[in-house]
Amino acid sequence: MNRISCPKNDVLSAYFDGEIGSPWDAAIAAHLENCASCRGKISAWEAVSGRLRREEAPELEEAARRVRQRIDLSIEERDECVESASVEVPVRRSEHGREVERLAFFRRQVLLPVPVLAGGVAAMFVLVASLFFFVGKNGSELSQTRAELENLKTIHVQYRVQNRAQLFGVMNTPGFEQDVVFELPDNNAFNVRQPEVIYVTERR
Amino acid sequence: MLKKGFDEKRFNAEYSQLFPVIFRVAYRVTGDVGIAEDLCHEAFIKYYERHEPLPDSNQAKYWLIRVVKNMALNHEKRKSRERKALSKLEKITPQYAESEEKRVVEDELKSSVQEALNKLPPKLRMVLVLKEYGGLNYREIGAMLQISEGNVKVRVFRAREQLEKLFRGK
Repeated sequence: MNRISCPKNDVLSAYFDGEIGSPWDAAIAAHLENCASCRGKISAWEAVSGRLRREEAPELEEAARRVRQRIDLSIEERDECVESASVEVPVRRSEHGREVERLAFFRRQVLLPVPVLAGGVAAMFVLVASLFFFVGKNGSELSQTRAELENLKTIHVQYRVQNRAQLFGVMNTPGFEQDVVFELPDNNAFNVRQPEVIYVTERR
Repeated sequence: MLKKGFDEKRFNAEYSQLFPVIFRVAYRVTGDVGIAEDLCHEAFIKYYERHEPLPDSNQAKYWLIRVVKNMALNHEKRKSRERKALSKLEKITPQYAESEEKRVVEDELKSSVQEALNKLPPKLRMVLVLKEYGGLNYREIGAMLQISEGNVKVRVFRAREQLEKLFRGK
């Protein structure tokens, strides 16, 4: 094989690590036979690697023992947690072995802190009270009104005006297109004690 | 009660075989026995908790080294943040200068190999440790660190060069 010029240092280092494939590894090996400088580099790296590997990490055996003990302890604790979390729900069976009922959540003792319990009760009370208030007073009528309004194609509005000029006067009032105040009759559909403001987006 | 489907015999065999490798990597990257033990403990617990066992010990080694490497990098980041905070504090309160002396003494107690490794830039140190102590090839190191094989080659060479100079200087 012909003699080749010195390979780049990182290539030589890769050769030292056995990372150069055929046929380049053979070419470098042949080069090394004739190049003292490259052989010197290789032997310097061998010395570095040797020194790194010769000096063992401190307390290796003790560390292996200590870590193993910790692992066993962690596994034990972890499995205890898993075991307690996956307790099978006890089953009551009849004389013939048929499942009658599961003694599940309601028969298990659950411990709750007093403030959490009090808060929960108060929240339930407020929720139920507000539900009664809204549904009882407005709920059904309000939904009926909304449904009717959504179905309307045209809204007829009656104004008490004397003549056409007065009507145009009302319609030309600044802000008429945006906000219109309706006083609606007090019947099943509109049980509104206060005048409602309806925002008109399209003028018909 | 051990995990369902857990092969204790196999785990024991893998632990005996792989612990020295994983510990060496952890120790050489962090430079601290206690931290290296913590990292190994966590890595093996994660390995135990894996849903599917790895097919062979070589893949288990690669997996464990990767876990340790990630945790070591996180530890390094945390330590560097703490160092910055401490140096700010030292500027404000001079009594913290004592800790500097303590660190110098601790460094003297450490081996020359570890001392030299600690002086390498973290990127070079990590690549060389994975190569020398983890026994990984360039392709595996590149995949683990998400860098090209060419980059691994250059970093290994530079780390060797710097270490050689450091050893020669002793």
